[in-house]
Amino acid sequence: MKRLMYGVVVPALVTLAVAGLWWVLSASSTSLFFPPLRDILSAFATNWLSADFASMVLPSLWRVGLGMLIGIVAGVGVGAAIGSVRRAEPYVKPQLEFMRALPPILILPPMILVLGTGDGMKIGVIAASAVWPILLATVDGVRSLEPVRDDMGRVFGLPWRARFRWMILPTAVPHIWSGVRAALPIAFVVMVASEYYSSVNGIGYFVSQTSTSFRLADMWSAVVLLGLIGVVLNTLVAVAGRRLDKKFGENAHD
Amino acid sequence: MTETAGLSRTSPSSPDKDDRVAILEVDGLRKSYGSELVLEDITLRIFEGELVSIVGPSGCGKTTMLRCLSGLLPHEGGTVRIAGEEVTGPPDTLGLVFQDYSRSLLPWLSVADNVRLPLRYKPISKKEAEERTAEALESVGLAAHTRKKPWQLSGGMQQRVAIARALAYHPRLLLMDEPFASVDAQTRVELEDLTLRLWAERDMTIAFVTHDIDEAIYLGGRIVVLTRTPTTIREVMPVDLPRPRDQIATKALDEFGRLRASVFTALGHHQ
Repeated sequence: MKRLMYGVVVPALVTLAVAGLWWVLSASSTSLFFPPLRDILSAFATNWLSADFASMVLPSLWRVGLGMLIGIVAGVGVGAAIGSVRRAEPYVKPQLEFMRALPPILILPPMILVLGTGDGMKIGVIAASAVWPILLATVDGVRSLEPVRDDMGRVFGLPWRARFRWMILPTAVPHIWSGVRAALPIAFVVMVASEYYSSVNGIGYFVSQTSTSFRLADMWSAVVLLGLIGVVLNTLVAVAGRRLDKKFGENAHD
Repeated sequence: MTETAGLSRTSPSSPDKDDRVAILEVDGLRKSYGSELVLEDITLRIFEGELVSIVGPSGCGKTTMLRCLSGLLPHEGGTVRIAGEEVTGPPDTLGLVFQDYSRSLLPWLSVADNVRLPLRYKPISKKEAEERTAEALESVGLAAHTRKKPWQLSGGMQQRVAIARALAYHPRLLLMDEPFASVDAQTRVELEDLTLRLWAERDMTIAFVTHDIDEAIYLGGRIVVLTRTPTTIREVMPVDLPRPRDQIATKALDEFGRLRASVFTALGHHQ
């Protein structure tokens, strides 16, 4: 009861109140830059609750999804390899930290030069930005296996696949998933930016087109849409994380 | 509450003169970390059916020695044989009970699955694995808790799970590495008697590492006393205490007090 109250009811009411405040305060706005919420919502309905959704939003989601997938596969694979070879750390850690510290937007211009302006470039940049937090989290996750546990596995003759399944994976999954959660917003930023630079569709392209042609209600409607998609995806990732943890993590059932 | 333990055994008092089978054979074992010599020329025999206590001052190379004996750590000099096979990696004839039960057990597996896990990768049938698991848990008194997760049990019960896992593995040699160092005194007494009972019932060969002198004497048929690093064997003492042993009666014997003084002295303490 209390959980329902503070988990659902209170946040919903507060959100409604904020939206209501926005509605009232902006109702009589004549500013070109801050149109009334009414106009933004009607633009939202026209732009996104229509067939345009498929042509503008799906390409963006597809790029984020594929980029994240590549980032996860590469990050977990390479991270697990680096994590299990303890001696590799001093050789690769500084480079990894350097790559992670690079602002992802910064690698856009060189990637455009190398990969062109198509989907390959966008997906590549998204993957290249999302991979670092996942990779580093995986290294930590694999590393966090207790030495005693490793000894136990070896003494009792567990083959490496058993040690991976029953000892490394359960320890690493929560770490890996926190890396995925950190990577998702980065992937989003890079998706919008790469579409903003050069594209023929996608949310970033839409924002760029509408803002440069002063269709600001349309532009704001895309911003609202981005926020909503972000909330939905973050929730999905959190739910998936709990599922994974249930399957492989501390509370797994077998 | 003390149960009578070690029902039908007599302790072998002169280990070298007969034709008993040596389960653990260590000859000239050496190990160093960098330039620091940790183990120096350790030579030791443990025969089939023996329960040998190994004591050493804290900070001596006990852990290193155990890791070398179990094949977890490569040694530099000498040889280690378990059940006749030279140790180059952990042999499948060896079972180990770690001090740190909460980490050596997997919290995401049930008690029964923890015990069964090593058996899944042994060349035995599923049915036999089931039977061994049930039997081992029964013999440590945990038949009623097989579906629980280890963290739902007390420390003493968790260590029983770890013991059951080693029993079900049917090792020729069971190494116990300060197994009761992190449980309370009452539980410790119970686990000591459990160890004696299992050893007697199952004809086991056990090397029991401890830093507790009373525990070493109470359990052991012989006591191996180690020196400080670089660690070597200072003395091997036969324990001529009658079995079955009893927590009160055995510890009240004059011989127990005499042994305690000798081990104490051998460890380098002065009274």
